[in-house]
Amino acid sequence: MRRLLPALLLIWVLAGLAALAQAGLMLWGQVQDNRAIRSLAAGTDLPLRAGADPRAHEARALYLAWRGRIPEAEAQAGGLDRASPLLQAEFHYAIGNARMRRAFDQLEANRIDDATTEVNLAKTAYRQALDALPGHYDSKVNLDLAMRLVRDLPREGNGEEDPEVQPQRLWTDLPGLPRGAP
Amino acid sequence: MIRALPILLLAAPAMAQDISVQNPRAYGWWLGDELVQQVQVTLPPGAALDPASLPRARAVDYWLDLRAVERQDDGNRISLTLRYQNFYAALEPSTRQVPHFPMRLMDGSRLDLPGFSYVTSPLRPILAPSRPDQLQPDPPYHLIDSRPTLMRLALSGVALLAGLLMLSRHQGWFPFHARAARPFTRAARRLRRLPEPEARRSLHRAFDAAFGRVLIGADLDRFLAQKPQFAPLAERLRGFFAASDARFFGAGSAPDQDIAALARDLGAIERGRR
Repeated sequence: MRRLLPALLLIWVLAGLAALAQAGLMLWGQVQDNRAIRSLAAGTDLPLRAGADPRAHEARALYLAWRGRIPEAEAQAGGLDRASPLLQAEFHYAIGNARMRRAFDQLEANRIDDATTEVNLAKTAYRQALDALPGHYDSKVNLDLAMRLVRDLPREGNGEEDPEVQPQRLWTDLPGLPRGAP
Repeated sequence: MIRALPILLLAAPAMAQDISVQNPRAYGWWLGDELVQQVQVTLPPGAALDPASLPRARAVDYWLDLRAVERQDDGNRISLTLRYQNFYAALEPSTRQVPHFPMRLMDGSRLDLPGFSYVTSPLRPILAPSRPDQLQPDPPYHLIDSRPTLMRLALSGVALLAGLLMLSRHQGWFPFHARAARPFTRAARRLRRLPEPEARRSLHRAFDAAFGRVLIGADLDRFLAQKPQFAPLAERLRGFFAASDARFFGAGSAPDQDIAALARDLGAIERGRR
């Protein structure tokens, strides 16, 4: 033990050094990300560093969505893979809001079909938000509003039937009649 | 029709299973809420559920999603947790019926997962207008809380400092290089710069300090018995004491020695390095 002690102490020191370096790098990254978030919130776009925190990606998505740059905002989804359910819900909710604002503009311009498409996309975004966090009330309210603009309708065909629980067909619909050539 | 009868009988539900169900409450659900149904099925011995017939996560209907199906097996007892999500935008409180779901056992018999009903209510008044100003606002920006990382940085710094202090204390480095408990280490460091007689005297002082009183050649065996870690150097120590007797008192003769190397080795043993 007495002979091992210096080696153990050396390992301790090296591990402490590694932990210090890692924490330092992490702090530096967070300072950069916070600067980007503050700038985006103040209305100035700032490119994010590689491997930025999900909150920075969400901030950029909010910035872009508010300005109607929806495809660019949606492209931030890749940085939110490891984000908390709240952050993911807020991301989809912001996209839904951007689509609703666009839909209201199109309604004003009497482009009803375009507006309907946009509202349906907004509903999908709100549903994704609620899928990430079922208790996200702002998404619920705005989804309700979108649903009143464009109602969800039963599916085509028999409507209420779940495709998974169709009765098993024991026979073919059209019993084959042998039609051999003479 | 008569030919079809045996096949229909095969598909009849098996009666031997025991199903207990915990349905979600029947009232008070809103748009987007998650409804959890828990089903416990006890199968007869030897029976097994056809895994392909389990319900899959999917959109059950335009107003209902099945988010997840979790299965836990405990012998013949199977627990299923079905997580539904309600997407019915009600204009007034409305009862929705979740359909039952047929499953199969491996022997071909049927097993019905029971459905349930619930009442979902509107979130907003029926006359609330659908205008842009009725939209809930965009979410706020979130700053990253750096305090946990700062704390981590501080803790790593403290751990590193503690490790460095312990290492330098153990090695007799700054600021512990003057510790009395390491006389050989201190002597080894000092006598590198000293000429022969002073170096020799300095090492003798170190022996005195390590022994607790003046150590002469005759006491060497007692010293080695007291500090057996120095026993591997016994021959060189005898040679060193014999050379000292020759040099200081003219008693006999002994070959010259590398005192610095001896002091270094003594110091290394003292620090546990050998």
